[in-house]
Formats: sequence, structure tokens, C-alpha cells
Amino acid sequence: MLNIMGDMSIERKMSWVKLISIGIIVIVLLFAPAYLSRYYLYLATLILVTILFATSLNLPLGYGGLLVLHQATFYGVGAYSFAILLKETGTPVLPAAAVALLSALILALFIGWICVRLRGLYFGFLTLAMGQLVWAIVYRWYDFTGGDDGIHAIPVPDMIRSEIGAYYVILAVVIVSLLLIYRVVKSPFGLTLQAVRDNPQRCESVGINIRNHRLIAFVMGGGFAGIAGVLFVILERSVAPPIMFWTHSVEILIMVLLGGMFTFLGPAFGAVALTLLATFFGIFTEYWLLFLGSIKIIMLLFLPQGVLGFVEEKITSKIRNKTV
Amino acid sequence: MLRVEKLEKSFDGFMAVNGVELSLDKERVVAVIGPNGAGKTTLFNLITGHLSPTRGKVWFKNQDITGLAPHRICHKGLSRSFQLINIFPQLTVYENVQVALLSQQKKVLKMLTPSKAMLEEETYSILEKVGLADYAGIQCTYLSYGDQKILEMAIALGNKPEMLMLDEPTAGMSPEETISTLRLIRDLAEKEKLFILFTEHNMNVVFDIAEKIMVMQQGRTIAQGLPAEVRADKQVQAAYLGEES
Repeated sequence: MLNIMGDMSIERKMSWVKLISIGIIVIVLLFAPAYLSRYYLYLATLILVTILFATSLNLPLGYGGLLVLHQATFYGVGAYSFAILLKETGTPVLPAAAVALLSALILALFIGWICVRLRGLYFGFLTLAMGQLVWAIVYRWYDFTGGDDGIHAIPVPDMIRSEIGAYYVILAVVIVSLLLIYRVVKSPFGLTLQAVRDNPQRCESVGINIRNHRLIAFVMGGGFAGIAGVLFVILERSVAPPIMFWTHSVEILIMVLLGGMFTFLGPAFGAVALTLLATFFGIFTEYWLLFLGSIKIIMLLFLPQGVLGFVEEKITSKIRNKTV
Repeated sequence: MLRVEKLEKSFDGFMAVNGVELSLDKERVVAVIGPNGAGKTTLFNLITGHLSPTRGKVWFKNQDITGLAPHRICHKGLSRSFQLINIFPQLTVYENVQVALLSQQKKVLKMLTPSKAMLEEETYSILEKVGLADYAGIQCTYLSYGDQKILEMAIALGNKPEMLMLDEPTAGMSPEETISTLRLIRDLAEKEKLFILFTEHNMNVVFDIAEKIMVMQQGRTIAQGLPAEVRADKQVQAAYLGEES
């Protein structure tokens, strides 16, 4: 009873804080090429791609409660389809990207259709197994995918060939994709998805087809991962099987958990933090994996709700205490 | 409205529900009573599609709904609440009810419009009906136990059902909460013209508000009829009421 009105103003204050910080981030990002060296601009672009990748996983994982263990499958399929189309058929960029997105969606629909029959860990392991199957095909099919050599010197058009061109294209696509995902999360579909995550049995009793809902979330996540894969090719101009190996999925999973899977920007935060940590520890010490591992363990132990989840909780309780 | 014919459910040979008969036509408020383990909740699960019967039929509005998926049965106008609190813990009170309304209006697949203001009026009208409007904005797990039970019912109302099934709606409530919940149930039946089927432990509650009572014991229907008839039934007295008096 106490803070019904309080809650409204908490929400308003929170959204102001959010809006201002997002504004600052956008300005910093827009002018990044002006103050970043070539290497750091590359790193920033890679982080952008990783942000979209991690957020694509969070849609089924954080909002849908689906333990997707192998999101890199769709990232890889998006990247490979785009790479093969550009390199082997000379398709223009936009249609190639559209086909790449479509292949990621179709594969996600196929794998999802099989997997949503199962729940929890069983679901997770089935996504892992199917993803590894796709990886094995890519790894072995030399004529088509280049096998373990991968595909290199992919002809990307001049406009997006330069670091700066690639940066802005990727920035634009990532921002638009994040806005789209945000809209979906705040829509009736998104609200219902969270309800399915929290209490599937009750959802059935209020007339929601939970299997359908889960499948749609899974396929959408796969689609956005496919887009991230396309962006990766634009940045790197090469692909190789490790991008769709299961360890890559686990890295992304850790980013999401670390950043906070019940927050929208948590995965993005995790992507930034972990990519930077890996890069800088790599420069300073050969034993960077040891440090990285320790940091991860400490964070998972003490901030189980993720960094942003923790921050959000603190801010909310602080404002609430003031208003009550 | 609802007709259950020779319903049976066996779990590895154990007959949880064994030839239950039940019909609701004119009576708006019907109670299913029986000792713990009599099969009341199993019967509910069989009717709402959470379990599929081994044998027998369930008819709702003259349609055979035996073995349909729960979400299909729900869309036919049969909605339920649960014995144990079964709400959406991370959502606000408002959103808990809103989800049910969105589902009832087949809007759960809308993706590009913000959900916040959708069906606001309908949601508040339900919250006001059950007395939870003041708590709309707070996360539902902060509600008291009794209010969470009420929210449980409010979610079921969100589906705008013609018939509401309540599984022990007053279990664990304080005497005051029990009284206001009973008033609410009676209101729903009288003002909203809902058919209500509920299970209950508390005998006083049942004889107060039920127009018809069905008594279950060890998975069987042992009596069915007006409260007075059931109270007078020898078998019922021996099986159940005897313990109480």
C-alpha cells in the first residue's frame, strides 16, 4: 500500500536515468572513429557484434527461460551463408544478408521445432547436440564450406570495406536490432513470454500455447544471432568453424549471465566487459585465462543476478527508500 | 453446463479417480468435498486438461472436451485457479491479470505494440472487483498469502470465463479473509452470472454457499445433491462428516 505512488515515480526516475545514459552512450559511439585508433575501432566493432549476439541469446534465455546452450549455431549459419553467397556466387550484399538471415531462421525453426518438446536441461542438451551436428557438417564439408580452413578474403563491397564504413554499418544494424528486440520484449508477446518462463503450467490454464510461444522466441533469437553472424563477416571478411563451436556459445552464455539475464542491457554489458577483459588480460599476462576464470567465478558467486541486475536492484531500493 | 461421465484416472494401477459422475446445469455454485487424497484435485486436472483420463468423458456446453490441451479448454470459457499459489512471480499484480486478458483476447502474439497500456480498463475492472486495484503496480510476490490467493482467482477471471473452477480457494486464509473470499465467490455467481465449481475442506464454508454438493471418497462419488440431502446421507456421515462432529 505504501509505495504504489512511489513505484510510479521510481519507474519515471529509472527511465530518466536510463534515457540519459543511453544518450551518452549513443554520442560516444557515434564519434568513436574520431578518437579511436584503428585497432581500438576494430575492437569496438567486434564488441558491437558481440552485443547483438549476446542479446539475441537473451531473448529465449532470459525472457523465455529456455536453456539455449548452442546459440552460436545460428550465428555461424548466418555468417557462413553470407560468406558463401558473396564469395561463390557474387550475390549483392543486401540479398545475401537477407538469405543469410532466412537460413538462420529456417535452421532455428527446424531445431526449435524438435527441441521445444523437451524442458530444462534436456532441451539445452538437445540444442547442444544439434548445434554440434551442424558444426560437424561445416567442419567436414570441404567443397562447400572450406572445412577447417574456413573461407577467407570474402569480397565485401568497398563502402563497408574500410574500418570506418564497417563500423557505422554495424553500429546502425546493431542499434536497429536492439530497438526491435526491445519492442518485442515490451510487447504483449514479450510479457507473455516472461509469464511462460515464470509459470508455464499457469500459462496453459489461461489459454496460452506455451510450446508455440517458446518456439517463436527461439526462432527470433536465432534470427538475430544470424544477423550478428553477417555483421561478423563484414568486419572480419573471413569465417572458420570455431565461430560455431560449442565453446563459443558458452562464452556468450557467460556474458549474458554475468551482465544479468533479467535485464535488457545486461547481456550487452557482459559482452563489453568480457571482450575487454579477454583483450587486456591477454596483453598483460600469458596466464590471462586464469585471471579471467577467477573473475568469472567471483562474479557468479557474489552477483548471481548479474552486474546490471545487481545495479538495478540497488538503484530501485535506494529510490524506494527515499520515497517511502 | 458441465457434465462428467464415469471419469477414471489410474496412476500405475492406483485409481485416483474412479467412476466419478458430476453434472452442473441450473446450480451456479457447486462444491466437491472429500477427505485428503479423495481425488478432488485430480478430478479438477482431468476436467481442465492438465491430465488426460484413462476412461470416461467430460462435456462442457455440450461439447466433448475430454483430453483437449489446457489452453484449448480455457478458450472455451472454462477457467481455473489452483490449490497451491500459482501466479507469475516476477510480474506485477497488474501484469498477472493482464496476461490472462491478453490471452483471452488472442493478443499474445502481438509483437510491435507496447503492452503496458493494453486492456488497462478491463484489467483494472477485474482488480477492483476482487479488491486488489491498490496493489496494481507492485510485484505480486510482495502480496500477503491471502491476497496472492485472491490474485490467483483474479487471473482466472482474466479469461472472462463462463465457468470458474476454484481448487480450495480459502485454504490457508485467516477467518476474515475466508469470509471476504466467500462473499466474493457469491458475488461472482450472482452478479457476474458465473458458474462456480470449487473444492473445499472447511465444512461450514461449503454448506453456507454451495447450492449442490458432490462428495468424493477414495476416488469415487459417494453422494451428490442439495446440501441438506448430503448432510443427511448416512454414507457421507460415516465417511466424512462423522470426523468433524
